[in-house]
Amino acid sequence: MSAQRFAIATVSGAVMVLLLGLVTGVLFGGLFEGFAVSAPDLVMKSSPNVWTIVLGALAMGALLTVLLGCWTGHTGAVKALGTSAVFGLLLHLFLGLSLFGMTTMLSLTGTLVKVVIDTAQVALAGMAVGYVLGRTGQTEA
Amino acid sequence: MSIVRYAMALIVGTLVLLVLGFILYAMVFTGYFAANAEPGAGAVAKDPPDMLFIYLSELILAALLCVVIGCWAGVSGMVAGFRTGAVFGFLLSLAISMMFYGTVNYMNLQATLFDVVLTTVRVAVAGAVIGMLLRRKRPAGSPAAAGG
Repeated sequence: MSAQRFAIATVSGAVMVLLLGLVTGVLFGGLFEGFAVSAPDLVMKSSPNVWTIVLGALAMGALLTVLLGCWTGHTGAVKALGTSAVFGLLLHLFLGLSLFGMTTMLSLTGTLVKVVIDTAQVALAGMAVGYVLGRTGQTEA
Repeated sequence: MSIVRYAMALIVGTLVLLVLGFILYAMVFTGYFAANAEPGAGAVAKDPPDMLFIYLSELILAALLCVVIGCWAGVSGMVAGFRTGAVFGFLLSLAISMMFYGTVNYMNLQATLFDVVLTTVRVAVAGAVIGMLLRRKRPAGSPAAAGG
C-alpha cells in the first residue's frame, strides 16, 4: 500500500471517529450521566484536551487502515463494515469490562450500552476506511 | 486451523496477559502509577477491583489477538506474532489512551504515555505466544520444517 493511500484512509477514519464521537456525545451525553456511579464531575475533564483526542482518533484510523488494508484486505464499504463491527465489539467489550472491573465510572448497564454505541462508531469508521481503500485501490490499480 | 489450537492459544494468551498485567501494574510500577494519578482516579477506583470482569476482559483481548493474528493477518510463529501484536497493541493503546486522557482526569500525560509502552509490550509478548501456538505444522521432511 502506498503511503499516500495509507494517509488518506487513516485521516478518513480519524475524521469519522471524531465526528461520530461528537454526535454520540451530543445524543447520548445525558444518558451516560444517568449511568454514572460516582463523581462524574471530578472524573470528566471540564474542557477536553483536543490535541490528544485528535491523536487518538488518528491512531484509531491507522489501526483500521492496517486491519482492513494490510491484514484482512477487506476493502469496500460493506466488507469493511462487517469486519470493523466484529473488531469494534471485541475491542470495546475488552475496554468496557476492564474499566468496569477497576472503576465505578459507569454501572454495568451503562458499560454495556456504551459497548454497543462504541461498536457502532468503530464499525462506521471502518466502513469509511474500507470505502476509501476500495476507491483509492481502484485508482492505484 | 483446528479449534483445539485456537482454544490453547486463547487460554495461554489470556494467562500471559494476566500474568504480565499483574507483574507490571500490581508489582513493578504500582508506585509510579499511584504517584502520577489524577484526582479523578482516586474518586472512582474500585478497592478491591472486581477481578471477574478483569479476567473476562483479558480473555476477550486474547480472543481479539487470536482473531487478528490467526485469521485476519494470517500469520503464525513467534516472531510474526510478536510483530503483529506490537503493531496492534501500540495503535490500539495509543488510540484508547489518548482519547481517554483527553476526556478523563485519570492519569497525567507522562503516565498515560508510559501505559502505552507497557500495553504494547504486554500485547506483543502475548502475540508472540499466540503466534507460536497457532503455528501451522509443516509436513515432516519439508525444508521449512527444520527451521521452525
